[in-house]
Amino acid sequence: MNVIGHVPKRFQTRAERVLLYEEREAYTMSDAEMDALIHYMREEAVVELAKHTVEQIICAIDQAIHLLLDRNSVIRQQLECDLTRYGAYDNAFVKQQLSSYLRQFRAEELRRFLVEDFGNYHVLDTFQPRVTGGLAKAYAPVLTTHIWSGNVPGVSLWSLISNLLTKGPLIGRVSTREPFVASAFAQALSSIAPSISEAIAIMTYPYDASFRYKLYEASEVVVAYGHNDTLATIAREVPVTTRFLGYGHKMSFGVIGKETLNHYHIAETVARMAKDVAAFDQQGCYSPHFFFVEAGGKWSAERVAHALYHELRQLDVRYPIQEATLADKQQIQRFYSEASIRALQSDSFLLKDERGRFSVKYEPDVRIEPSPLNRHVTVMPYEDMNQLTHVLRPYRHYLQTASIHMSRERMQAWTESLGAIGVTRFAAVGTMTETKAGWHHDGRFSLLDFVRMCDIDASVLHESERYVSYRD
Amino acid sequence: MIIDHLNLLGHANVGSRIRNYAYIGQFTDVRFFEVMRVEREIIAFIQQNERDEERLNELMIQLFQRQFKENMPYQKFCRQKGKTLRNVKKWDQIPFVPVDAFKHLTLSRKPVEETAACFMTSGSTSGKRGKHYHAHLDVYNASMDETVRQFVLQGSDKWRIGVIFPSRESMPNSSLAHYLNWIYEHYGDASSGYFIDETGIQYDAFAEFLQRAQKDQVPVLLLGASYSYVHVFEQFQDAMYPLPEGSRIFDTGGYKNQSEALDLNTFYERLATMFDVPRSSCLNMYGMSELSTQYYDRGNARVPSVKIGPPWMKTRIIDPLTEEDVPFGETGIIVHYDLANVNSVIAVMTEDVGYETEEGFILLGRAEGAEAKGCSVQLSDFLQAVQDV
Repeated sequence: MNVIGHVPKRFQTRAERVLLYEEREAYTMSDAEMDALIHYMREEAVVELAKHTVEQIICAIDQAIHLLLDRNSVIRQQLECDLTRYGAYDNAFVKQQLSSYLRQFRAEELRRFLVEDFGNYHVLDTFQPRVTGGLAKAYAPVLTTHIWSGNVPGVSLWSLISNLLTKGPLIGRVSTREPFVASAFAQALSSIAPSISEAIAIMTYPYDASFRYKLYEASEVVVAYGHNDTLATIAREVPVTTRFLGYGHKMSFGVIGKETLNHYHIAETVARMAKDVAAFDQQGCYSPHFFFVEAGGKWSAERVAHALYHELRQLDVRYPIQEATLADKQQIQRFYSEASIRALQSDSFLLKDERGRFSVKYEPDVRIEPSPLNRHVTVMPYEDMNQLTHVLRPYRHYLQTASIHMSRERMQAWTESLGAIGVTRFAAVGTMTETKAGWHHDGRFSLLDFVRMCDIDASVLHESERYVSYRD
Repeated sequence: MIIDHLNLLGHANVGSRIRNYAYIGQFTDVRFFEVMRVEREIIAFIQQNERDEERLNELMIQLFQRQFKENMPYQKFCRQKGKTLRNVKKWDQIPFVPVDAFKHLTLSRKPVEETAACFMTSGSTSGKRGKHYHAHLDVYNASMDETVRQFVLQGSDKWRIGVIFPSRESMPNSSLAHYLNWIYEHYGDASSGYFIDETGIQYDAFAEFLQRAQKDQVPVLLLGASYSYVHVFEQFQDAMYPLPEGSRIFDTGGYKNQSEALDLNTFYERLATMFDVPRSSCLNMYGMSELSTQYYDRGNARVPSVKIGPPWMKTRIIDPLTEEDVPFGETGIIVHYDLANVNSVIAVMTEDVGYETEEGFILLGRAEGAEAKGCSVQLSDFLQAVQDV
């Protein structure tokens, strides 16, 4: 079985290996070798990458992605096998979601990313004209460290590919729960464009590895995903001269307007809501914790809660959730206990599967109702948009995606209000977990955050004009 | 009213029944008499202190029926689970409440104003405290006395006792204060004492007590919360106060955010070293305000120790979602069935994790918060954030 991770060729014998699963090893580094790797990345790999144009990198990535999209390729099959064997998600679901996800990294989509952030992305290759009259060039960070976490497949590809597009070498620390997608991509790339894949190192190392300080200091950018506490710890260790991009945990939700709650549309509405809940078992930052359903439609929020519950039951048959850990079960059980006590004291009710595999809670008041995840969601009726903005406002730094399901005319007021309180993305219900190329992850730029812009003032151009050899 | 009740009972010979009740005097309300009978039988069973599964089941079901009829929130809770008097016939069918229920529901058969005691939980995590109402403390005290005699006192009726936990007067809602006070009052000799006041532990007086016991060569029984001893360690540092042979050290309660946590092994090592008491004589009690009975171990030479309960307690280790027993020896959530919980509910589901052994069960501790798998906010973090907001 091949090794998890990827290191430049000259390091393949020098890197160490550590057992990640029963019989799978992953690359890791000793202190001394990490020094050498850092030096190599900053001095050689970045120079090599700079010799490529952005278009060449786009093409290479595109080909590597197509290799992963090809269900018959060895790499793809190995990846599917790994994800279902060691990962937490159902096989059929993974196959479907993986392809849908990988599409975002094809050439046309990558160009969207680039245009979205740079406008004229040749600025990554050469000095290009600026609107103000001078020139500018976007320089790659000489080294970027990525710290990935969680088990949502493929999250690592966002920052990895964004980094590559800016022509920056990278060292990525994989999440022990999902190290496969990033590794598979690097391996695919190395079979297509080794000069580019030589600038990628993907490995594991213990959290308390002593070389992490060296790594942060040597990096121009550090990208980290995870718990706010983890991010805080890393942020403290990253020197002030290094840019830190932290992506913390988020809480997303949905708003369902009453015009979608009629007999004609209801089945589709509810099916899409269920899909958002079940995708990745609600683990994604874009997964909904609760839905606000407008009162006054032909279907009440209570009926929607019942219908949603039955949809989740269907999805449990097609894409069954994996067995939860004891700690997860306790968290879910606590959610149930609170819900059942609340049900004794109010009109709320809880619809739950006998084995606790999914549930829908109906709560008559508009409140923030966090979910224990793993397909447990709350449905609440609302009458007025202000009710929602009022309760959501204090949680600005947790808000991310909101699905809006209503007519275009009404939507505008909602997007303005919710955008103002911190929502960074509006998606159609049913597509919350399907981010599109060029999206601003947590409201940030994907690519601009990596680069260092270098300006040539108009004045320098003007002055140097006076001394050209062919002057009059 | 008597006649109505008699008709319910189906007695034809009304005359003689009235005569009988008049003889008994104050028990003129049949229902009240029935109620007291169950509780008297429970006390008798406790004091008998012998395993009798059939009798235990009988009493638990009888008590459950009372609780179902007289405690409305509990009845609603049972109905929500589809459990009624008709389909609860065995003790393990009795619906259990989560410990949190004591925070949000009034679980008391008797109206709260008429209850004699209210023991509150310490409110360690969320701030809101659970309330356990006791109509009277007869059953509670009977249970406590029986287990204390069996596990703590080791046959002796009089001990020189040193207590480093607040008095019952200063903590009227603490079941532990009541418990320790009971032992002190009933089984402490003239030289026993409390070594704590509003400012904290009286270290000097306590040190003197320990030294005098060594001089007098009289074995000592120390009673305190686990964190009391941690404070003592911090104060006394490496000083040693060896106690005479036969001394016993009793601790309970875990650390509950009060002080820096020591792992079990280190804790008992330090106790043994500081007081020269073998770890097998260092006894841990596992109890909670939501219950009326306590569990004990047979010393802490090995940790974690096996917790043992008396014949009127039952313990199950369950999967929290399916609510079914996990296979023997596997880890799950601990559920207690306490016959002595006469005024509230018999069955309580804790947030503690453990596994069953031949003699009892091993407590592994509170379950850790679930580990974040993706990038979605975890419930536990969220609750923390709510407090900050």
